Amino acid sequence: MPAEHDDQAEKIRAIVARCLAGETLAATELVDRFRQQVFGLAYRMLGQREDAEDVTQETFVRALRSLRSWDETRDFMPWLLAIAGNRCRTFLASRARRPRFASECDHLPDPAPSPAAIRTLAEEVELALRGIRAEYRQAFVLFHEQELSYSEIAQALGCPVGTVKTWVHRARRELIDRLRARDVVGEHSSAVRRI
Amino acid sequence: MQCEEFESRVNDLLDERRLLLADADLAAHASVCASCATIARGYDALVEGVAGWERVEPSADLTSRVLSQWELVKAQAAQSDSADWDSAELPALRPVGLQRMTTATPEEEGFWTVRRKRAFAGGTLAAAALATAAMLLIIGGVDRFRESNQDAANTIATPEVPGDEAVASSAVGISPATIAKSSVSEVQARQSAAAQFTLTSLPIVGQVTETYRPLLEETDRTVRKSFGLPATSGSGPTTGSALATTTTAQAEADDSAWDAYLPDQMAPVTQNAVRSVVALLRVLPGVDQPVHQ
Repeated sequence: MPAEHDDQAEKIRAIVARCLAGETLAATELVDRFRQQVFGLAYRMLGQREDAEDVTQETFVRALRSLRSWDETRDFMPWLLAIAGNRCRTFLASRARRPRFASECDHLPDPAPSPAAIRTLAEEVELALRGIRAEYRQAFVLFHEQELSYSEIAQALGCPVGTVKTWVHRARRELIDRLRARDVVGEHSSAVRRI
Repeated sequence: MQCEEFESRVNDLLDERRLLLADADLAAHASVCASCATIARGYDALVEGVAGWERVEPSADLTSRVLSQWELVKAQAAQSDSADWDSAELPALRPVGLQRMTTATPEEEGFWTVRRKRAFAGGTLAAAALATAAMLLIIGGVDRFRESNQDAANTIATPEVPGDEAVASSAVGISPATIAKSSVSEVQARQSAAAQFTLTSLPIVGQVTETYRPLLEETDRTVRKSFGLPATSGSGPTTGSALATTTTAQAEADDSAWDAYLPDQMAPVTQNAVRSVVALLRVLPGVDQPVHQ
């Protein structure tokens, strides 16, 4: 596993070097490699596909622009996700300043790509996620959906591992409280059955 | 297992990405404790919910849009030829929704053009209104002057200002050229003094550690260059002893000390420069006694 990780890291370093040399193909490769992760985080943070795409686009342009500042001895993805997280928070702050009409529009649900794919619980968790603090949300998504380690999340958020753990634990607790308030928990009681 | 440990144990398991059912102690406790069983159900629902999230994919054209914008940023950077383009703002992103409805940039360009024209028209109107008001004031003033002097002789006498006698007598016999010459030499003297004075000689700078001295010296050179002052050979007194306390009043005194060495016309600008430096020093870590307003 570490060997595979090193191999990946080496490949990314090579792509970055080609990007810095001005190779457009390398930039394409870099974007294609990480677009899903960045977009996934942005989507969970913002809850809107269009907004998430805008933030993803901005994240990549900013990353390409400041590639020289990436420390090659560290993982690339936490660095990239740190930029994405910052962009998301900036976006959320600007959204909060928008007129009421605009913010009401933001809360309209996205048109679902396929009604058959809707899962009530997943939607409820997604809805609950939008109500918690941005830091908790970001840490939770990075841990549970993106499956980053705590140390990688700490790098991405620029804070100690202990703080990240606290945020993830608080996020879980708040989400459960919200699910419980909407009577969602009782309907999905497989845990006890499992235990 | 006690109830107090239960939730923390659940979190530990989730942190290790393990299933709750893998822990026999948890299972045993949940089977006898209703409140902890509820907690376990909550966590389980949460984990299941996250697992049920659909994998979200961005639009297929996202990469090409990123690259287009990236090319635009590079082109702008090349145009502006700015060394600090890393910190420049990105060109405005066109919302995705709008991109789907409209395909080209001319609409956007047109929008900005209209806004600029409107702004220009507003500015012109304001300027015209101000000019008219100024003209009316001047005309009104001249009329009033004529009215108040219509009975006087057709000569304009030098107005007498109380307390000006001494000044008038001392000025007698000195030609305007001499007065002008002395002003010039005064300015030259002040400029010369300014050349000897540096930002780094301000008392507040004494608090700064050597770490920030290159920054200050560079600032000093920049200010000097910007204001057309001659460069100095030295950088003023070095660090010196840290001041025990520095008050806002002293910072103000620093302003005036710098100001005193400069020609009058430079004073407002340099005051701002010095205030900026003082403000910078106040927030730098490592300054012994930060100045609090």
